[in-house]
Amino acid sequence: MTDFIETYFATTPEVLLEAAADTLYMVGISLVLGTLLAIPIAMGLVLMRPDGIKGNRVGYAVLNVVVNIARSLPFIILMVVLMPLTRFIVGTRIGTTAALVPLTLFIAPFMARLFEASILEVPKGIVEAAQSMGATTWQIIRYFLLPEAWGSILLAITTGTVTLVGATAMAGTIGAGGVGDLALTYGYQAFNTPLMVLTVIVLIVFVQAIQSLGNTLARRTRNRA
Amino acid sequence: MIELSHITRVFTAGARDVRALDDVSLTIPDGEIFGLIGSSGAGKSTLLRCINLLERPDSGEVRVHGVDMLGLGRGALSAERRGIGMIFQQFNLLDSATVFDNIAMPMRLAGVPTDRIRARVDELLGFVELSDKATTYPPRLSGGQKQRVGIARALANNPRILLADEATSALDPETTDSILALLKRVNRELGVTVVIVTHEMQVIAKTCHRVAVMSHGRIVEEGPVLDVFSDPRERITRRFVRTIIDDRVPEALVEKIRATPENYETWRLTYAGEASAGSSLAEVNKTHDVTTSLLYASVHEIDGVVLGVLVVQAKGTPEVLDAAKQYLRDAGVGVRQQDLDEMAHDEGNAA
Ligand SMILES: Nc1ncnc2c1ncn2[C@@H]1O[C@H](COP(=O)(O)OP(=O)(O)O)[C@@H](O)[C@H]1O
Ligand SMILES: [Mg+2]
Repeated sequence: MTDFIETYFATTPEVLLEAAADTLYMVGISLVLGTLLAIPIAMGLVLMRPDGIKGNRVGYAVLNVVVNIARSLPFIILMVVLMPLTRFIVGTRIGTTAALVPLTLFIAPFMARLFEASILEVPKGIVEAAQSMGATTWQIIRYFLLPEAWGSILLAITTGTVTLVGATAMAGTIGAGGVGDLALTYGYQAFNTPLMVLTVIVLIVFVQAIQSLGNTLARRTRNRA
Repeated sequence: MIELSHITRVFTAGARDVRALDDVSLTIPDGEIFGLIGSSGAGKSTLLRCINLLERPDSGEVRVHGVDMLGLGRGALSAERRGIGMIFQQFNLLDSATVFDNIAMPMRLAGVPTDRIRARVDELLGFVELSDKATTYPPRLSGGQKQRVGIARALANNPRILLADEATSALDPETTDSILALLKRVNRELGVTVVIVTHEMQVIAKTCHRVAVMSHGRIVEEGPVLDVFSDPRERITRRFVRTIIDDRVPEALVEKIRATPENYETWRLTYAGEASAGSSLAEVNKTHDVTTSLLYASVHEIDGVVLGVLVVQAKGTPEVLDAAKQYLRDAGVGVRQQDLDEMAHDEGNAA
């Protein structure tokens, strides 16, 4: 097996496994952190809308602009812009862990927008029913909005995960490693076509698996319904 | 008792102000089924939502069981709302929760212990006849079943008031009847005051004790349902009553009446319960020098009472006609002059 890999891809199994592990690490951690950031941002956007239950024109406008600004920067630029912050938080500007900062701040506003749309899909009548029962704002979020939007939020998380896989490849430019980096440095720059093809296949399989998993979970959530 | 005093609510829609409620006052006694009817946009829902403050009036006073609702803080308002159940046209159930969990929700929010919740949900499922659906999710239920769940949910915390906003408007006629029957049971067996908003006079006729008619943000007519049906005073009310008792006659017939050479009047006669306009009318023909011709006749059941409506043309001298009307009134028959212009068929429909 090792011979096979060394013969055809001019690299070691360790390198391949490490790349896969790096990708999983970066996608996994930034997905969790990004989701944890995105949910309150999305809730804030939904609740503070002028017709929302905590209507607040100024608060909504500020949050909306912040999300728009964050969303308008391509990941590669965001990564550079955030370098001082990254160094402050992680202690270094480069490497796999350093990539988590821009990855998280890249995916959070992206998913916040998707979550916002998911939560807005919940009929207004549901919130009215909740209020008529005497539910507090927190109870409305916890027992009505999140459970009703959950199927749609799972699909949004799936989309976010796939987007993150793409972003991690770019993170390779700050020495973050991962499958994308492998394709770039070994495959493309070293003219190692078989390796490049392998990474492409791995990425395709990866994305397909994520999408299928997301679809299944979302369908299960909705199909009870 | 629900007391709404001088309620005004103005919505700003773009550059235009919509006066959804214009100085509305209304008192609903305990134990009643009260109907609010009006065309779309009349302000019915807004008024209903002022009772539990889903809508806050711009001015006016809202008292429920003596409590000044507008003066309550957030926590106290939540507590009051638990005593006021609400059901909706679109049911507004959680699709992601079972029937059991939907009905349990108001109790969970109120912090009721789990074992008490279980017992109460079972009891409610029995009351709305859905005991076999506890683990079903709402999308698998029919419209009527969904509304039954809505009613069970609204009753969970033993409210004394139930607000129903077009609760049957999304249902077919048969299902509507079964839901209305259930609302009557809620009123009779549990003593809950029910406030029903609808644009269908049928709902009022079948269910309510008293009714208020709304038009352009005002209550234009109010009274016991039987009175309103037998003697609607406002034009809009007459149009609603006509959706049930269509006492109009063909245009050609109206033209013939207009051409009557002798002195005549057209009367709308109503009798409820024991009285019978038919025999009284026969008596009038014998005892007075009048000839009557029947233009319209019907019998309906309104709020559990039989209501008969006749429209007749009566010919005779003015003095005799007056005497005949008095005779009929003494016999317990309601008599009203019917305007010929309003009698013809091409007037257009209510709602
Ligand atoms: N949230 C709102 N914003 C703006 N206009 C509203 C709002 N709610 C109701 N209205 C307006 O107020 C009027 C009364 O509405 P509503 O009480 O819903 O009438 P109904 O229930 O009798 O059909 C309508 O003209 C409606 O468009
Ligand atoms: Mg309405």
